[in-house]
Amino acid sequence: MKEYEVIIIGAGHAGCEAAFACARKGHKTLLTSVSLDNIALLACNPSIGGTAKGHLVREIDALGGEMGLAADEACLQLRMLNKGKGAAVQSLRSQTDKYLYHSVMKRRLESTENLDLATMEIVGISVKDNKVCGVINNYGERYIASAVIVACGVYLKSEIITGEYRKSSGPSGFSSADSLSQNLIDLGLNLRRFKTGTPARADGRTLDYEKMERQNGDSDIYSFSFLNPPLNKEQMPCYLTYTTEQTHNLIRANLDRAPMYSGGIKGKGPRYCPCIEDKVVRFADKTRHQVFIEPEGANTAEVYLSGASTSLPVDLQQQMYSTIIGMSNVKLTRYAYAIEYDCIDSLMLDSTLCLKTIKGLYFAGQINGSSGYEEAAAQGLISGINAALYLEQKPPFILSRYDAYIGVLIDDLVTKGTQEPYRMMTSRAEYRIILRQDNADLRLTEKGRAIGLVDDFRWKKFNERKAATDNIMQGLEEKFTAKQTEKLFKDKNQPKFCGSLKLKELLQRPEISMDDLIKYLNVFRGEEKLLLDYAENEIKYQGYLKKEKQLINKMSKLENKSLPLNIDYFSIKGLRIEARQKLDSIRPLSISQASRISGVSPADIAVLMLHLKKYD
Amino acid sequence: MRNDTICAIATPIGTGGVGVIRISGNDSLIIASKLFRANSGKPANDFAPSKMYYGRLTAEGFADNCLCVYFKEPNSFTGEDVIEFHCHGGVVLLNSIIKAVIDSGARLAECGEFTKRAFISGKLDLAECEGLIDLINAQSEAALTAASDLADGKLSRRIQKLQEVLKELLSYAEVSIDYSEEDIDLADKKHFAEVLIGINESLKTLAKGYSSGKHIKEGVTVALCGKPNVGKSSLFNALLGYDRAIVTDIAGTTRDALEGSYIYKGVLFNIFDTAGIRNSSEIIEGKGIEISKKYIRQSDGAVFLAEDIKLSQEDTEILNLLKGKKHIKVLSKSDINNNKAAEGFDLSVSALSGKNIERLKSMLYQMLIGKAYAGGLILTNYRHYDAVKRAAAIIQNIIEKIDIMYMDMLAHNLREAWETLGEITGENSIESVIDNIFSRFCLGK
Repeated sequence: MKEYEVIIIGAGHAGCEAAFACARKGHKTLLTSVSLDNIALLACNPSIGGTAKGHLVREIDALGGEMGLAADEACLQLRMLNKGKGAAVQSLRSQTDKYLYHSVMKRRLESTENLDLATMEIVGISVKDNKVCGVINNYGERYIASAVIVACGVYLKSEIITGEYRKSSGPSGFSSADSLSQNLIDLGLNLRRFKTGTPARADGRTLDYEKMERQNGDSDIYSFSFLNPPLNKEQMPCYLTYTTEQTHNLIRANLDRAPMYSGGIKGKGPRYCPCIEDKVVRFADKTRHQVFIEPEGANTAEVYLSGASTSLPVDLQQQMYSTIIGMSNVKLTRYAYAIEYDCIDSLMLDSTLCLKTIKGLYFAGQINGSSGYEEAAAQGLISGINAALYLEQKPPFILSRYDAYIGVLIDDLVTKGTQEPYRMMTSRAEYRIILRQDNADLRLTEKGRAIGLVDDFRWKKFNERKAATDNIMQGLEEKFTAKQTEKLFKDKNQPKFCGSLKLKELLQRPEISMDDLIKYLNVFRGEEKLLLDYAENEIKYQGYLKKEKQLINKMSKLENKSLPLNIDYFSIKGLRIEARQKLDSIRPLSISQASRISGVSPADIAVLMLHLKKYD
Repeated sequence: MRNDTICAIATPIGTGGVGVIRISGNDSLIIASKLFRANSGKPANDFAPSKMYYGRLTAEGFADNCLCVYFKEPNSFTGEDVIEFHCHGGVVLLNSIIKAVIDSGARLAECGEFTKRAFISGKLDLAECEGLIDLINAQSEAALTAASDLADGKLSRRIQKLQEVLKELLSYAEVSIDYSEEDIDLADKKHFAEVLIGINESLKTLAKGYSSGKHIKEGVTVALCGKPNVGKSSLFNALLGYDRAIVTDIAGTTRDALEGSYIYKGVLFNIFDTAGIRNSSEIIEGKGIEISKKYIRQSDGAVFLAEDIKLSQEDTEILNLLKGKKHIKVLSKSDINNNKAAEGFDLSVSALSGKNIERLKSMLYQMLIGKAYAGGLILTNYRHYDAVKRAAAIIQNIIEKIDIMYMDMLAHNLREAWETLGEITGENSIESVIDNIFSRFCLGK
């Protein structure tokens, strides 16, 4: 029997980060997959980042994870979103070469110590005395391991659906994993059925880009990873086009053949990412919908038709896509499909992503009901760190809602649960002016170092950046006279002043930006853009930051009021029945977490506080 | 959680026909079976819920016939097991029973504890609790209406509506942030500002109603002031409708301020009959004058009384004291003054004939309550007033700065305003708020 310390089921975005974390922390790790060709597969969008997701990538990177580095290496185009909407909500989004991304990630895994890769389907997880002790694969081989991380994505009993056609299959033609579901049920898990979908891919040479809007990347000023300098390479464009009335009429006329409406699909799909049928039916007054044409890679003619996922039958797909502007001669290379799959109820997990009922059994990624590569990677990282800490018999690593988007993501999953594939959004974070992408390293790299995932190189780099940041902040204290700022004030229509003003006082004015200071006053020349962004935001958002910090202080007090795990909620008088049931099944760690459970009212919280006081 | 059992006299202190003792908590029924025996012979622990039993309450040193009701949890006011004894009134008797109940295992309830338990068991939301306390303490009809509006959740609903509108705007802001690449028709900032101005108007109207709201709930205070012997005490008695003050011809009879009240259009008017103000050498009277000045300072409004159109030096000094205070200038003893035209005065009255007394009451009402209370929703509670004002300030700030606010700032502010209103509806109330409210609760229900 082969022996490992950690076995990871699935080598997608969650599985990869989990594997890196465990192996780098010195644990003998096995990463398994039904095929090693699907390692870090971008099964849907050839894109990494986006609103809130870009924050996650930066945070993963700050903690010593891999996603940011691989995304930089496989980047085809990079843009900062929400530039006009405020610093707190700006996010990096990249177009990613899906083939390169896969091979970069595979190569990095292969060159990691303590880490083995193996092709196999895990069909069972062995448990003894409520502790994980190993797995068994499809060949009947048994493996010993004290920690197992289930990161099997959408592969459990997955079925792809295009119109009347239905087939047991994983995404992109990879085989599904049909045996593990029953094993999970036997271990006491509740499984649910979720659904997601992907659009067709087309031969880019058959599209008429003249009829579309070209979208270029930003000039090269950023990168995902704090280790990388701003990206400096040629970028590929995307194109924006639109559906037409013809598209909509065709869909409306054929709804009886659309599984979404004919009853063929029963799984719960994401509201934020509807298929084109859904868009047409639910937003009937819209005369057109956006479709983005995105490159699948630098060495392929295939393009991704973003915004036009569907589960229509293939004959209709061909007709439908050719009604989109600039696509009358489109040749489809892969049909669109919907995919249904088994996932677990994330409320069964604790904040380390460990199953509450079985020690050493962790879950990460889409199996938890989330969606998105970045969400999966973040969970993978946290589950990997905690599996390692479990093996080391050390206290768990939990990020709170005010530490990181990762904290918000996991707290939402294990406290609120989700009724549809969960996607990260900035609005889910109550402290988003603090949780910016420009300060992810300042928030998290020290924690990553303490865990042991931040190596000396990254640590040195971090300390250099931190020193440079302090320098800029110090520089903002410098005073300038009315004479020195004369031209700036004239151009920006600022009222005259006597004496002198500090740079930060100038920056506090809405009309004056960091770029203006650099341009007019010749300061901070040559400093890195990201550091300047940070400094500018710290000044411009001063009042907001202060307010959020006050709120965080309040919240951390509640966070510190811990709830004993063995509390008998059913014996607490005054709690409403619904609250008793919810609290009993979720078992929150603190009053603060309890207060976020839906169905637990402020009155219930007051009862809990009284109860705690009594037993203090 | 095992709640300990609390008890209190639920009816007002004093002698009344009936006195009610309320017991709430796990041991209520046990205590009842120790003390009470139904005439039917049924032991208390077999009592059907919400049914009244007649029987005898026996404890050391006394026995009395009374009624006993058992409310089974959760169908009681507090949501716990509740026992009520309806006994004969009388402080001594009720106190003896309370003592017996405490000896049987209950403890005396703290201020507001019954209502706190009702809140905790989810029976009442925060605003409702506060309304209930006001209802109990309501001294006049209008206060009763305002309190019952609160208890009915009318205020909550009104605030919820405003919260809804804010939520709508917030959603717009969030969508434009989280789905920046989507082709969504977004409301522009101008539209935001317009809607916010509307919300702010509503909040301001609510906030404005607070001072009259407070007056409705607590009543208003009016100081009667003037030189000695201009007829203040007579007017005081006339307003009250009965002789409360001693009226003599000797100047300076009223040494201390006398307080009395009447209700006009449902509002409680507390009237202070102050000592006449003059430069007195007599020590006691001098003290009375000091007190008068204090009452004038603290009252919501004043009636200045003089017996002659020609104001003396002293009259002018008194009027100076009233600067900045809402007041009505009244010429007194108009029966003696033979209906002289009251030039420079707002009104002339006769306490003796009752002339213009009703008119004075109406003027006081107009001056202090005004049109604010026309049956509309009125803020009577300081915590609500505070939240409404803070929310209004946040929104005002947005309106003023919306042009230089980035979307993330706008969303931040909208969220804060929304959450602030949530403090009233109880949707996101925090522990400190709860503590604060409950410390203000008074025993009685």
